[in-house]
Amino acid sequence: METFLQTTINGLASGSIYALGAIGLSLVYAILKLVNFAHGDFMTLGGYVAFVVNVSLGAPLVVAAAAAVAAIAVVGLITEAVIWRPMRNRGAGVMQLLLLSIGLAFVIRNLILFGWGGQEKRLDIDNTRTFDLGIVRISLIQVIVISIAAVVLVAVGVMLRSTYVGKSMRALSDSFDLAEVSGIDTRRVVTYTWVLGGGLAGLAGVLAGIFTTLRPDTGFLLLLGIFAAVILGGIGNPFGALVGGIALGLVQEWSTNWITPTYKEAIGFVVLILVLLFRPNGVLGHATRTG
Amino acid sequence: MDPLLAFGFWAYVLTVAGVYAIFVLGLQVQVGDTGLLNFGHVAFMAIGAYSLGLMVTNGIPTIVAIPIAVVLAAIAGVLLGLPTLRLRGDYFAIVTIAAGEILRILVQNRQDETGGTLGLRRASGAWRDWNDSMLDWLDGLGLRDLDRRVPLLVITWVTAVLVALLLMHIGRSPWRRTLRAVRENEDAAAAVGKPVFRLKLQALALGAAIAGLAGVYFTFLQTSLYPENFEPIVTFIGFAILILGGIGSYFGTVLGSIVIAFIISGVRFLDFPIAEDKVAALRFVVIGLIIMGMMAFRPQGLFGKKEELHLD
Repeated sequence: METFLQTTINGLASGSIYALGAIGLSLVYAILKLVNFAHGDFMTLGGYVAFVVNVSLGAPLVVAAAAAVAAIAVVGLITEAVIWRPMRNRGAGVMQLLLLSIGLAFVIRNLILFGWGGQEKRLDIDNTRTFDLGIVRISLIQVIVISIAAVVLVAVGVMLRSTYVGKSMRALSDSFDLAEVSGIDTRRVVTYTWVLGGGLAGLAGVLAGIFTTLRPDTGFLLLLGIFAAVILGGIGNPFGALVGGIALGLVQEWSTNWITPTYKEAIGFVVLILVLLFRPNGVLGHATRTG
Repeated sequence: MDPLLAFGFWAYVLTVAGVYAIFVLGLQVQVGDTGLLNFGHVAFMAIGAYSLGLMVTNGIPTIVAIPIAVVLAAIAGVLLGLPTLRLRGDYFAIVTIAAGEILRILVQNRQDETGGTLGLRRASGAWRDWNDSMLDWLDGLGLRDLDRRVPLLVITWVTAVLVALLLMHIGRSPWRRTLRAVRENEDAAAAVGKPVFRLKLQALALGAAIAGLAGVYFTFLQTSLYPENFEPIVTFIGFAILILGGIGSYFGTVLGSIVIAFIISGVRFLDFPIAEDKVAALRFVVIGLIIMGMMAFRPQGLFGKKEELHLD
């Protein structure tokens, strides 16, 4: 029971990071038909922005996190304006955009490597402090990650469910064309999608940076797990992505009760493959016509 | 030492290019001919390499181990394809990359058998002896004091050319024409009675076998095998070569392999006024920019045909 609770806490923390990454990836995937392999590197970049503000400039971590969120939202908008919109206007196919995003991922990851080198970076936070809750221990970092993620994820959920912009986003992810003919300003919604997806990616990168370590490949190593979360929840379903992310984190950590922790990552990929084979529309997804 | 004159170094770079050329010829069958975006291609190379290494370190003669390694890679292609080939293109891409990572994590963890991160030593078996006899033989022909790397360089490229010729030969067969029909319009191919699923499976297996062969030469070149040799980035470099040379063009694949191998390892002779790891990072920035530029402005690649392209 103890180990179960302990792994549950660990899983909630890592699952929160997957969830934050997965919402943006899922929305962009569904609305823009972009399978963005650079999403993980957006996260990494967020972590490094926070590192610069927090460590190099000495500002508080909260300020650094806000700067990272803003910076990656802007990066998302820039890539939309410079790359994705012109490519869509030229009628680029899904696979063409996918391969392009792999090139972009290479560029971002290696520019980070160029700028900061390959060694691990640490944000200015006490990573040794833990709270003993009797049967389980929870670290300060886990408290921070889980609580920030909980607040942000609830806020995003409310936004998607209740605001005009949120509803428009969900409409676009159902059918871009239908949304457009019913008078939704699709271009504006696309802008908000990048702000939301990029901002969440930046935040996820900061949390990944304090939860694990910050290296040029931090985000890329999380990316497959995030894809798993997106597919688990059904592509284009932001609530599904949220649940998928948390579920993935939990399954990975629970698996360490029976299997060596070094297989943890592989467990995530096995889950991904099983979901695709048996529920290709996601566990929460509904059957849709494809093609 | 002036690296420009260091023949051995260039022989190494060109052998790496040759291994990549074979590897990407396998991708051509899957991506170019059949339209299967296989992002786990490196796994088939890993299966070829580790099968060879594990067999020769357990006493199986190298000459026997090589064909078995290639066949095992092909079987892995079938096993991967059976459940996944009915998935959509983007799902297939993600699943194949995940399958490759599962394999790599497995190799990394089964340290007792594979050496794990410590590496599998002497994985190339009898290759060193073969290399020595070939050098002796060449010595007898009057080619004295050749660099030790020459035999592998020659054999790798001869193999690459033979594979390309084989694929060109297959290219004139009804089999490949049917594959292209599948790529262009799966429903139409199925409607006229073509066994779409079986054809895709065959293409995946053939490409996997070729990647397995690339793994064999990779093992000869490196002697020791490490799991990090088989990270997803190898597949992505393969895609960079494929995209640069042109999807469907074997000549483009050969040229693309040489260009990309030179960017990755060859630019060391240029004296940059910055640290080595920064230069390494810039090389991959260049590769990323090549992928982006080609996809944006010439998705069919330098030598590909636009009508052959199928990226929807």
